[in-house]
Amino acid sequence: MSSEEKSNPLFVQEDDEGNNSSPEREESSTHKSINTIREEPEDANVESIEEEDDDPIINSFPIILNTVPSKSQSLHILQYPGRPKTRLLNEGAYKANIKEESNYLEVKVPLDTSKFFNVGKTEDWGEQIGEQGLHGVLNKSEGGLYVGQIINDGGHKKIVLTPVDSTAQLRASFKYIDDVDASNQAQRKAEVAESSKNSNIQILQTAAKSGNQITSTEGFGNALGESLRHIKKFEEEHWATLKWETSTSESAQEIKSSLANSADGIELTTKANLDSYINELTHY
Amino acid sequence: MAPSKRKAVKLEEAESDEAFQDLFQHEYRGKKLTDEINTVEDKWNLLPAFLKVKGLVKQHLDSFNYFVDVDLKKIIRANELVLSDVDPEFYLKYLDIRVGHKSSSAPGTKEVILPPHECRLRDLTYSAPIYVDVEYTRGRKIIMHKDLEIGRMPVMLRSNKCILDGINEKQMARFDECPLDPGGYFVVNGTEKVILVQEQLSKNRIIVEADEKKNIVQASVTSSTHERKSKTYVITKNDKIYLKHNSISEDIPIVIVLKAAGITSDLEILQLVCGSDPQYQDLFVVNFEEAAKLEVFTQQQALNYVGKRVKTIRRAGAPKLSILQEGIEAIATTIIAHLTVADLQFREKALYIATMARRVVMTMHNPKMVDDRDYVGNKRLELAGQLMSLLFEDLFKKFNSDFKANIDKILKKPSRTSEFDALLSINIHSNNITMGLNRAISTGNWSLKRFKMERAGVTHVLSRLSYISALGMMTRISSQFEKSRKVSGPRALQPSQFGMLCTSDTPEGEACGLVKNLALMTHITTDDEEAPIRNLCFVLGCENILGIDSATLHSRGNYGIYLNGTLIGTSRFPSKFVTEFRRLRRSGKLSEFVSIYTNTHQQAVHIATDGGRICRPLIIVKNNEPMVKAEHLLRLRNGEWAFDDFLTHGLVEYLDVNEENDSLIALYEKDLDPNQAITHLEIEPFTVLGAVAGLIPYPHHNQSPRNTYQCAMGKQAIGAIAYNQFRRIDTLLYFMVYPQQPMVKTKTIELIDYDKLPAGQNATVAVMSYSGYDIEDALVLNKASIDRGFGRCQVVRKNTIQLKRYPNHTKDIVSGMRVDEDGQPIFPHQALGPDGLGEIGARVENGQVYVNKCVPTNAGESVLGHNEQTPGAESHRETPAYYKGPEPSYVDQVMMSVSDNDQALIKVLLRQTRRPELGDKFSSRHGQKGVCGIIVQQEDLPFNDDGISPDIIMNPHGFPSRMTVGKMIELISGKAGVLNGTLEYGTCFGGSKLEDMSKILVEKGFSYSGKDMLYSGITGECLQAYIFFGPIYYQKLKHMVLDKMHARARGPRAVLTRQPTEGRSRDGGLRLGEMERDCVIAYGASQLLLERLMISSDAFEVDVCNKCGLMGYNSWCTTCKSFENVIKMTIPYAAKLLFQELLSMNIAPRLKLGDVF
Repeated sequence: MSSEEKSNPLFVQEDDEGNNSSPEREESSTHKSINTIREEPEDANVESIEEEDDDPIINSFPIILNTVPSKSQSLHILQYPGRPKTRLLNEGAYKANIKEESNYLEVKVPLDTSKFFNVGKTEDWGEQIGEQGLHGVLNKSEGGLYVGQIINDGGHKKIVLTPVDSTAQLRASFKYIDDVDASNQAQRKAEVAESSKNSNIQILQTAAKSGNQITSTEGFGNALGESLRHIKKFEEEHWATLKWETSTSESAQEIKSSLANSADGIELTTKANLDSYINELTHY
Repeated sequence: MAPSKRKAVKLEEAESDEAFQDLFQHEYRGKKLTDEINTVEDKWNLLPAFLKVKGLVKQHLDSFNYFVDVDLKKIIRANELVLSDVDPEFYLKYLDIRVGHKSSSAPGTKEVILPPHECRLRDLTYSAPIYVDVEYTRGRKIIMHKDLEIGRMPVMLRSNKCILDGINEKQMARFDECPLDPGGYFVVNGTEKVILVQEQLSKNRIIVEADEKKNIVQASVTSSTHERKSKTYVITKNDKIYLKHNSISEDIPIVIVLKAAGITSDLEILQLVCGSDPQYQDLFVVNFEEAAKLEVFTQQQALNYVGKRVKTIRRAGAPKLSILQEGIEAIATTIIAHLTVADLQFREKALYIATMARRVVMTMHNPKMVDDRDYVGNKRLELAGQLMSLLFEDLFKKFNSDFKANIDKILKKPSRTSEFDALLSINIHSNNITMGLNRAISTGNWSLKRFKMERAGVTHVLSRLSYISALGMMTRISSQFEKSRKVSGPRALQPSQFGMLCTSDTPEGEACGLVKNLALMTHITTDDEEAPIRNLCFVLGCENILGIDSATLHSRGNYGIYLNGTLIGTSRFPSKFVTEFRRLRRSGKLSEFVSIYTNTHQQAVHIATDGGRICRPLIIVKNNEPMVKAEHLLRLRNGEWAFDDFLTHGLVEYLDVNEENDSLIALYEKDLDPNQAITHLEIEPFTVLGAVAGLIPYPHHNQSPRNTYQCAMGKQAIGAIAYNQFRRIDTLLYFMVYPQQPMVKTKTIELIDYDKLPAGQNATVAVMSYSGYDIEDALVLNKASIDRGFGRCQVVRKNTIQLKRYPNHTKDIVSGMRVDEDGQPIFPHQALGPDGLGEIGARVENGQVYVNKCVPTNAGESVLGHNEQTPGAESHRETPAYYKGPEPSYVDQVMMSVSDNDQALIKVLLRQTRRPELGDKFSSRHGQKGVCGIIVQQEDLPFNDDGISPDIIMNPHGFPSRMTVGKMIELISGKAGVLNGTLEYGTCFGGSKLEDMSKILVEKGFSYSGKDMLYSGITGECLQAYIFFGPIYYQKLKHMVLDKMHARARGPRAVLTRQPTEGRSRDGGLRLGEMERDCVIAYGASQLLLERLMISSDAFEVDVCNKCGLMGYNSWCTTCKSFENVIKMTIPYAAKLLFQELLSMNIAPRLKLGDVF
């Protein structure tokens, strides 16, 4: 899977995007393939109609629409903000998990412990930290994003577009710190429980409020707010494991080539005229 | 009668614009169709075209229409389900809502109870039924029920639910309505109520303020959603930044909030807040230390930190949340509540908080980056529709929860005899919505439970003093700002209000600058759908914010794109983006009221689609050429085009205040300078003024406050009210008997139809001194003019009598008149007819009866036990309605009807005709008021060569200090108009030119200066000086001596204090106050005070105990229990009362008596 590294070193201006030599790694599993080649900033259709007098046509390419090889596969863009461009993504063993219902992706990346790594801290925490968990929500692109490849086919240049299912920004979650906190707290709780066991408290009377006092109209079954329900759903859902393929692997190469070449070769022409296109856009 | 009228409405074609017809006629203002069109001068024709489409109260109508057509459906969708706690199977779902027509009724049906005028007369509410379609379960079945009436909605007159919408003048007449009446108000319980436009700080936008003395910078945003309203602050404290919110008990360091929102990396926080600017970074860096000190590193730790500090207010029955859940809830829903967190994506909210922090950091670095609270672009106007929608949603929620409680009660019963039908219990409380809406509009108390908001004084009774006062009320904007606070900012004239709010029309005194008026050519937006605009932005090259990394967000040249204050993406080509967006808007592809502008300081492009923005149309200028050409105006004049065609063809566009700031607008075509990139051209400069200020001729020659004074006085002028004025029965109405349209008009006067319903008369004025009774702006009136009808007015007053029914089946009756021995009616009954009601045209004097009402003597008796009494044998006691007043009145109309609760309602209208008298108040249209000082016989007044004598003589001292040059020009233009047989114009920034007027005067053999030679009426000699002499439009103001004159020798006294009552209406005394008392003492007449204030008025004999010093009675001291030492003495009753009141609060004033001699 190739990742266009959008996150740059600290405060470096976003430079030209054509870093095509960026490491590519292919990952495909039985039901899902995550693949990105290059982000196309705009829908190509738009370019053709938003023409201006001071914006002359320099060159024209045939546009070919492609789909991912298998229906169970889909294309996603993964961004790694907070990770310098210089650090490549093709070293070590990668693991990926997904919670499909919640659109949540987790990638486990081996941690480079050679630099800027405080070994003493890990000893304090008493935990072996070898990998970094990167998490992110998959944002559905809803048909607005395509991956485009300019293919030089013997002098004839063409653009092959493949729809992108979603994008995700993956960030470190520092779960190991939370784990340490949790264990500390559990310990403290246990201690408190220990000490309070001896105290002689007698419960004289208990009263519980009956549950039928919910007066709000949406009260029924909606005790939790919407966001908390999402969290609950997220926590209840199980992680599904994805297979991580490096970009040099065979299957990855296969998919990559199929994305470039397997298109039916039918050139896209626009049927809509400018007016109806704009109407389509602006009327809800 | 109503049905036949309605049929007539349908038959005839809808044409409500007859009032505008003559503006579009073949020959208009001396210009024929064939005449050449001059773009420069004729572009003002766009203004009548605009007003034809929009009208002056269009903002109210638009807002109400939006409410009933769009907003109601949204409310229904937001509260669509009613579920039961008892039966999980049961549900009721609202599918649709309609006001005024059923799902089956033909399109265009408007179902209202009665025509509006009948509602006014019969004290009813002009309303239409609210129908909903519901789907619910009955047993196993799902049942659809259409057109279920859940209440009645008060209907705004002339809105699209009103029967007056789109009908022509003739049909209006059949409904007893005035075609010139603008509508936009409600009729509730017979009174006309206006929901004034409220001005507020815009919602869901970040406002940054700084207090330089305290070194505090704060960014605040008021989030408003359907459920809640809350305010979030990002503030500085000791140069560190915190987030503050009402529901969080202490301020949270900004870094912790951002971490809680999912930005865990310090680097990313720094990038989002500061970008790459090292100065911002230096300012912000302290905040990281704070978070580190608190040992908050991960999102979970941050959420726990926030969760621990949330003030929990849990509804009964809701589960208790863990600290972590509290934290999530706070970040996801409580803070910045208008952004919803979908799924687990906190990014948008995190970015919003980061943006607020960034604005704070920017302001810390450069204090000039603050926002101006008073800037009109930061204000939103809340109109009737929005207020009604808030109220309706509250009532609807209450309705549903009551309904649910009802269902639960029934479903809880273990065995039911019949199958449960939910609809049977929905109708029971259907009165709630109707009554709630009625009560709120009629009292003006807006209480919204879900926002815990109580607002009083939202509605006002529509002032029907004159046409212009009603119109002025409809365009009024009231500010929420506290009147008593001593800050000048909110009251000051804002440069940004140019063309949006009238620069002259504001009251004097405490509300000065807080109450404003709309300018003539303005529009107030309603909400537009956000989603299509958002999609459009992405198509136009905006990069989605979710795909942008933090480092590039604030990089140089990258502009953020904000939709209604929320960052949705960025663009590296903002100017291209804005141009493309504007082109789409100009081609009519998206709503013309969506505004877009660039803010270079914030590197932002702001798009606004929200409602309540003021905007106004302007002519687009391209390549230094206005887009509107002569051919377009020709089409407009020929009736081929309407105003909207100018919009769709991209010739004219609406700009709101923010976008105006992004444009360069030329006032006149001559200002189109090729060296400047001018983007727009003003349609007409005089539209900076509003409808009321537009009445003033030549206002640009007047000293500014004079125009403001006239705006206040124009609303007090007596004139024609409406075409249906004689059909109206209002509490108090003033009519002018012979109103005239002004000789010197303005274009505004024609546009708002003031010439059809004028309030004033053209008086011939001589500016000179006469008789000495003209000091202090007093006027000398000509008696002959008054005899001819100058300043004559009628005052009609309504008297309502209700005939009640009592629980014991007795009721009030009206009994006939009583006669004396000769068969003549007794004096109090002289005005009555045989039916016991005043006869039309009868004269009613003080102490006479106009309705001889009788109350049953046994009304209070119980219903039971008196069955043997036959209803016919009731005995009644007379409780007649007496007329009270110094001057007799005449019975004008008597109306008898049945009100809501089946009780008879009698309204008697009494009329007085008044001619001007000494002390009546008059004013010209230039803020120059004066009272009548003397009425002089015409033969004693000066006259000119033609024998014309003035109607009014005004003292010239009124001019030098007031500097109302406009009044002088009005006189000259008026005089030239009279001589020439034309009506002249005094339009602001234009009008008939003084040179032309002087030329006419000279041609007609008068002096160019407007001065005439006058002869004294007393001596017949020629006056020593030439007198400035000509017609000026004078208004008679409602303050008349007859309503105010008051004197009393002896009269009623208050029971408690034994002091005379206060006020004219209670026949009160005239107070000799503290200062007057001082005068008498200073004069040395203190014995006079003793005599007048005590001995002969307030003396009271008390028994004082010389031992204890307290007061007793009957020579008995209650404290000492003895007759000893009790001494009688005289003190003022007020003093005695004071002592007793002090005693009542545990202070014992003890009198120590000594010997006088």
